[in-house]
Amino acid sequence: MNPLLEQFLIESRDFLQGIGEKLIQLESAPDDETLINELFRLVHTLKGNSGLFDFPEMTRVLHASEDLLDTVRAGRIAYTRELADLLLDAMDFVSMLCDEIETEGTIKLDHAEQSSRLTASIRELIEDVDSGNSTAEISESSNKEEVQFNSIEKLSIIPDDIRTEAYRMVMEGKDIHYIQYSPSEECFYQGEDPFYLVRQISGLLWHDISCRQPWPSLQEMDAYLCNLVFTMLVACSREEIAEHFRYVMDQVEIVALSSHELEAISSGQGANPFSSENQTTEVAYEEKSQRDFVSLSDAERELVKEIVTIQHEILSLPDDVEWFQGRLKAVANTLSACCVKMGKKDAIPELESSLKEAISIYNSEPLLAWLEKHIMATYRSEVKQLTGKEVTEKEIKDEPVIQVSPVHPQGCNRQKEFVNSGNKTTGKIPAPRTEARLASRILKVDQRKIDRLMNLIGEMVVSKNALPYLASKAEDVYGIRELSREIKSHYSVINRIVEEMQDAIMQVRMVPVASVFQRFPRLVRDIANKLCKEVELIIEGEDTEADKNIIESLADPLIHIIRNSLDHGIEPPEERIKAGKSAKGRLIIRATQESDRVVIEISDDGRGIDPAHIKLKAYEKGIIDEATLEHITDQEAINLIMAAGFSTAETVSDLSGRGVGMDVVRSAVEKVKGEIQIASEKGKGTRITLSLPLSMAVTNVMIVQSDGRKFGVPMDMVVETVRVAQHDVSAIKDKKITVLRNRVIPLFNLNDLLGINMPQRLNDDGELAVLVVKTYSGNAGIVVDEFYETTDIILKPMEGILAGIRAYAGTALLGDGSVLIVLNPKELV
Amino acid sequence: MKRILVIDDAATVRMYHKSILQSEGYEVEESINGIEAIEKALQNPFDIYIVDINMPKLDGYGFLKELRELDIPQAPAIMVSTESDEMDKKKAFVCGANYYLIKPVKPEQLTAVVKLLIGEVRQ
Repeated sequence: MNPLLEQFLIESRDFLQGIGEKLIQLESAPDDETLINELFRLVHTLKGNSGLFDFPEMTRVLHASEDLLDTVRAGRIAYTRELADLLLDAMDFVSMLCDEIETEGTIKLDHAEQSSRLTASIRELIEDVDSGNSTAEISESSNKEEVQFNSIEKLSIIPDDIRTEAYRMVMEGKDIHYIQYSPSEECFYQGEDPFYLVRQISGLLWHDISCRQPWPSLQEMDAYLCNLVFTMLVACSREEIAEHFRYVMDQVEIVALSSHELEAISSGQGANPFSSENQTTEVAYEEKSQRDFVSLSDAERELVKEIVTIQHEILSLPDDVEWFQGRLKAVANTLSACCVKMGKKDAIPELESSLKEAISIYNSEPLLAWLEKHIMATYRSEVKQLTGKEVTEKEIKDEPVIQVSPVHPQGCNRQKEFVNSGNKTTGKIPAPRTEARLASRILKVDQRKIDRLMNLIGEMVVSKNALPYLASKAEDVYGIRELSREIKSHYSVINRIVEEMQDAIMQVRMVPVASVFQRFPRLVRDIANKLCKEVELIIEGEDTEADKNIIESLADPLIHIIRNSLDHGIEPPEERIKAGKSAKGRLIIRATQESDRVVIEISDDGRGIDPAHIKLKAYEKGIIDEATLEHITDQEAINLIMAAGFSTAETVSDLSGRGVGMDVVRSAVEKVKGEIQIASEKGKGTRITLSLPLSMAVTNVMIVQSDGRKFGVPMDMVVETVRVAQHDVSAIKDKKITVLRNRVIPLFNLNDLLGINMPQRLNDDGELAVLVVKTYSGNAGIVVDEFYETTDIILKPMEGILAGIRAYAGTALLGDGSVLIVLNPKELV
Repeated sequence: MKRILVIDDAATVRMYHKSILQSEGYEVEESINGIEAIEKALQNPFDIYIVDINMPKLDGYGFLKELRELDIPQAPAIMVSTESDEMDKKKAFVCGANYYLIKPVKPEQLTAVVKLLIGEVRQ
């Protein structure tokens, strides 16, 4: 993908995120002007970006959204939920297009329809307001300005001779109208013949046919829908036009043209036959200028002319601004560049002196005089039209930012007081300039690069671990103690650096939970609306950070929990009031950091979980047997909702019942070595607590041995290690147990679990080595042959067909180069 | 080498303008808002400024006004924006712009104006 497009996609995502947030924020503060302005700016910029590419579907929707927000900004329409819904839909659509561009490289054709539909509904909203506000000009008002402007643009496509003719007719007092006729799509079915209608109008000077929307591909085009726009220049009165188009007046825009408008667009090249003065001098100048311009192309000559004309216009502006000098200098520089291009270098020294004079008398007159003498005379005939539009006092007053303030003739050396003066004059510079600097120091890096660093560090950790082996080898095998000691001391240095590197890269990977949480306001709002429930969402601790992978793996489980909470937990308003609660339910999502874990708590004040109900359901579904049903505690019952195949919803609703239940949530959380707890009180609410490691890059494992093989067991699952004398092992039915601090612990031989046909070995004192681990059903003891040290490893998940063996968490490379298989005791037992 | 400052809050637009101008052999720097641009101009003035209107912190109009008050060589400034209103244009010129382009700018359009204006800038 080309880098520009890539940049566009990255930036668009940021903007869309920002837009979404602002839209939601505005719902609670619809009058916040800063927010609306910020929102407008984001949409505006995004639209601008999309305009760089050929994505009409996207640009169209964004343009309409921008216009709608402009209407909101101007206070002509209130920010309502419907409006927000519409804009959110529009942004979702744009975001979907972005996804498609990313995967397909382009936008598929079938989105054109949706784009038009969205655009139409947004435009409708704008037009509703416009028509509602002014009954006098129905439907015309909203488009009027646009047409007016567009028409001027479009006039330039009219051939010169026709325009000259029109100009002449206007001067003679005839009415010239510019008409834009957009027949309705269904016009062919309504017995209309747009082309005939256009051809029949009296006084037709010129007409043009264009398409309203880009032509769809042939197989999608409906030839019976009219996609044409007719534009024409006619010499007849408005009444005549109205009479002619009386059946389709709603589809016609009429703009009366003045001589001024016809003139303004008349291309500079076309000699104006009606400026009669000094015909001869003009010709003379023209010849001279032709000579000067000889090396320039037509286009360049046009551009120079345009730029010079603009500078003339600028010089004619009032001089009551503080930056007047700078403006003059910039104009002089611009003119000087034009001189170079025009081959009038000899006029530059005089330009310099005129500038000096202009600055000293604080008036642009000397520069104007220079311009007149050296350049404008050449263009006089055309220029006159442009300078004819003099800047009126009123226009200047409309300029909101400029303040007319006392003149500073020597206010030249101002850069030192820039910040101050900036605040004073524009009031727009917020003090913290460092903020701007800060922003440019943030680096966006592709995650793959970080992952690569991460892998490299992993390898580093492993190879560093080889040094202690080397040290002991030096001593034991080669008998060089000195070398062994030196290797060891060197190892401690490398170890420290690697640990620091590891920590640093971890920091890079840390992202605030906000990156997941920020989707929730929208999610909660949409779901609550759908379910007709009122919910207040409180989010706390968004700044809490954790590893990116962990945060990302959190998103889906959290969304599921929130859905459950809104769907099953929080009651409809009536029910809540009956239960003596406020109509509005409350959902709190809170993230905190507790030592090396992130704890996320999702609590609601809904109807809670009824253990009795759960028990019955679980029994019906065969998840528990009758005996369990009898003695199971309420908490255990609640935990049953995380059992596979359990779903309490009576009817599968659109929202939470999609075949995935809390068991999916549980396994997703456990996949990143997290834990999940549910606490609930019937009628009061439910609290679900997720506890996750900050980072999963490095795993601390204990190495155990059984039948001469070494295995790793993740330390976060190990509760303790104990030596149990053989005579302390007893049996209940056919299961071995032992009693540890008055608690019964079931014992499993690792050899049995792994299908190794060997008894576990005892140590010299006749004791068994028991590893007490956490499992789904409480603690359990795994009997192994021997425990060894713990070590940090980079755990690589099982791949390919082995990935299906849940009893293994993965593999890791040890410092001596051997491969360690890491067990997953929870699945093993 | 002639130096150009592209001021726009949208990274995509900056990249777009930059790539066009760089391919013409100009040295191009970027700023994400008016304040940053002023700082850059103060450190080392540019030969042309290409300014977006709508930006956070300090918008294009504000930037131009501040720029024109500085005691540095006053190079031509081109305002670039999607607004094509006569009003916006006028305001741009009042604030100190020397030319006005409408987004999306065609590459040949931008290079033509820049080539012309970059001419010889007096000190």
